[in-house]
Amino acid sequence: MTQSEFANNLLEHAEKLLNLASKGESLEIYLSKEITTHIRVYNKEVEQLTKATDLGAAIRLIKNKRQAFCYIQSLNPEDFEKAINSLREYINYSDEDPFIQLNDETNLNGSYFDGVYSDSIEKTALSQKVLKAKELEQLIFSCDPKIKKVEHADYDDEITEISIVNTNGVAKSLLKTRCFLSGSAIAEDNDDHYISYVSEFAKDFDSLNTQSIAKEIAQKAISHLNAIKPKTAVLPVVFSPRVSSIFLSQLTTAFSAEALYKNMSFFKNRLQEQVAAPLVSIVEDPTDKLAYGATYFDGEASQVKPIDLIKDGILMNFLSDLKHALATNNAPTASAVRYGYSSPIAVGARALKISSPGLTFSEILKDLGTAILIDSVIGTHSGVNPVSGDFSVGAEGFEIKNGELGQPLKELTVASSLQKMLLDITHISDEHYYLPSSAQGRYIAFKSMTISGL
Amino acid sequence: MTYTELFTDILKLASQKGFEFTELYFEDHLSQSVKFANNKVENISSGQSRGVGIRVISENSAGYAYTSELTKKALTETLEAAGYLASKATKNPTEVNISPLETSTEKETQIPLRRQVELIQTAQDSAQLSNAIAQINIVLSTGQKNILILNSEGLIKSQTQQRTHFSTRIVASGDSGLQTGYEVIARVGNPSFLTENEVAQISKKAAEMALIKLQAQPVPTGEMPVVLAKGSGGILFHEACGHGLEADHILKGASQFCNRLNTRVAPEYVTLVDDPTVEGYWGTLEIDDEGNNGSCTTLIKDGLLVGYMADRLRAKHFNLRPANGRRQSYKHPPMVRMTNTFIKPSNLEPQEIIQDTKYGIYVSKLSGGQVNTTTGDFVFGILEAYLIKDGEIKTPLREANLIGNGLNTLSLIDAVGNDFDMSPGTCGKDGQQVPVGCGMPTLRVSKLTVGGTSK
Repeated sequence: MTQSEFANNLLEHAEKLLNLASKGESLEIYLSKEITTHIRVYNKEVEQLTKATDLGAAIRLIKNKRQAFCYIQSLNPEDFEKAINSLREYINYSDEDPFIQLNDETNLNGSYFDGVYSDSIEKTALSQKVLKAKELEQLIFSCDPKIKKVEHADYDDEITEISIVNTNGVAKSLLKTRCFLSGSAIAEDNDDHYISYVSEFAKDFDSLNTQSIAKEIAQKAISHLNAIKPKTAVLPVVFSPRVSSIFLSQLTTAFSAEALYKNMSFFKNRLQEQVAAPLVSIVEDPTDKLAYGATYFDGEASQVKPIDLIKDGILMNFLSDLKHALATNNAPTASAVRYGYSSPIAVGARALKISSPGLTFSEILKDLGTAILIDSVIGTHSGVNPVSGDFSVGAEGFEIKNGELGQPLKELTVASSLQKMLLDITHISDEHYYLPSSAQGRYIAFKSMTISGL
Repeated sequence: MTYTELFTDILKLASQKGFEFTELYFEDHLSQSVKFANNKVENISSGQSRGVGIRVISENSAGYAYTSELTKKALTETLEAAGYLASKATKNPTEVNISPLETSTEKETQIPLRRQVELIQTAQDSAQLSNAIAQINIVLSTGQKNILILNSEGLIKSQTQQRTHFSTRIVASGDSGLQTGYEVIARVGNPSFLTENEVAQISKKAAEMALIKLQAQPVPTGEMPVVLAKGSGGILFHEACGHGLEADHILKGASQFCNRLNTRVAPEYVTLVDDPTVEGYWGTLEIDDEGNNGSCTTLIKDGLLVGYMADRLRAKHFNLRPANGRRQSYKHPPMVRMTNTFIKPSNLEPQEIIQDTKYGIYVSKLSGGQVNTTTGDFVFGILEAYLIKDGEIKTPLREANLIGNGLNTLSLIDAVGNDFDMSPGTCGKDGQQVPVGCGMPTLRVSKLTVGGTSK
């Protein structure tokens, strides 16, 4: 698709569909078209190749302060009419909500793609993409003879076109691209083995660095061989960038004005209070084009901007869509997220960043002396309760002794609470990484966490 | 032209191209959801998803593509995309003979929207147990999925399935902060099980859980005996050994159960099966998403490893009966997945198991888990648990994770009860989510690592 085709295509079609709204009704239409490629290589052959174009529409109807939502996989006006008629029925059973509203920010109408779109994904032949995945597999093997299997080497990409229009005159569209390399390798040594998994992303094909990703996949598998289960203890803990990114993402519910409104945030009634250690400043910044979740506007077509959430340990803001900003008497922050056309709007984060006072990872290790580095966690969906803040996850990592990384560790849990962890942060590294996640990664050290092992 | 005729034409085209094996999976899925929060019906939503996924297999490679446009032109293009890999290894065209359609279309009844809202209101009233209840979230979701599967070997089968899922998530607020309670009931088939009484009980139980947890103490830390209550504890076996017994992991050597067939992996009172044929369970199906008839696979019998779960590709390799080829939707290729996986009951009274435990944890509700199939290391989250002291259930505990290793944990099961229950869940693998059932009787693992914060 050329950029001019993009600018004229979906948006124009969506605007025509707004005529289906009757008097007294407000209508919002979100159209999305996603072209995806998935290539999985195993044993030098393509094991799986999936190519697809997915087109769908989310429709939100509001009447008398009641709303209903549906999605369809069609651009046909007759299908839209049928869908809108269903929504008219649903609205009869919905309760009135004084805070429901549609965006009326029309001054920035138009089409956007600078910095979030690259035509390289479309221009690169499928055979080149297959070669990329094969190259990844071969490079992982070549890193070390202890790599005995590459369970998979994947290349994925997506070209996404989104248009949002509503009966308040909003009409915006966005074209973005992402491509990914990921792989999983099994290292073996004596009787022990370990499987690693690493995923990286880029916005254009040529920025995917196969060499460095292969090295990380292999290194992770080898470094964890011959790990031991540690003794139960309370120790300082350092999270690797990938793990700290998960930790920051888990704070989204606490930062959400929707959770605040529903009494589900442990930050309730704590604006302008100290909720984290003084060195902690967290910003939500989807305007950072390098971030995985970079965008121009949110799921309601509100223009995004950087939002200070915690500054020097003080809680500054909540993340809000239009409804929950009004409901909680906070300023809207353009934080409505949609996970595709089939998902209703929710409040969420796209690009959380934590700032660093300037220390390097090795300086942090030296300063800590004895601690544990956690570089892999599992069970966050079941072990972290974002409402109560309870945090307990399965983990793997390394001993830190005399400021140096030592023995690999396995089969342990690391536990605390999200609130305590924020207050316990002692170090944040200067090194930072843009990961395929809603949060950037840095090395973050915590004063103490409970390690459960032997 | 009917869909069957259209899809048969595409299969014939695939044959003319010399593709070794071609499969079309058509799906028409209607879903509806009523969400209650903040004392009001917050949103009613619905969705329709309809399309065809085409899979072309040649040797060990599978090409997949899908479209929501049900025209000959779009399907032909989709076939071309799916056949990208196969086009270099074409064989001579073969005749495609499509058998008569095998239908299994049970006509289900829908719950009228008015009735759904009434049920939610009943559930809401039942959750209002005290002023400490800070939020009541209720979601009632219903869905009907019609699928039609055809392949170049002449198979043509269809299935209609209705699903009903009712969940309540309650937040209680007290001096110790916020706590949550969660209960769910979900079944395949006729939704008439969802009565006022049923939803009231579910909702009350979730509210009681949240209130009890306001008094909860930090979870102890380290290795100790863990008694898992019947039902949701089944997630332990889903994670600890279910995933490791999926034949795709076995084929790649990425499971700790490789090369262990017919060896002892658990005590003799442990029998584990995967059974999609039990009526109503959340993982129940008549045919899988490759058109294979649903059938029970015994995985561990009296402690011996006796089977793996397989889809079409892996069944061929291991000479197994395929019954576990599943996919999230027509947008996803099938892979080996569990259906209803459960430990069968043995002979101990649940109370005996508790009385026989001097110190440990009684876990009455688990929230979910995750496993590294290669190493067998797994975690699962405690949603509701109590301390056991001197054979009695005592203090409620906060949430935490349990961690263990699949093979090791199986060998450490030292008591299995004579009760039984199932629990619905959603299983994620390779980015695909499918509904599954997990079940077990009350049982004890003599030593699991508990990830608490209390010494």
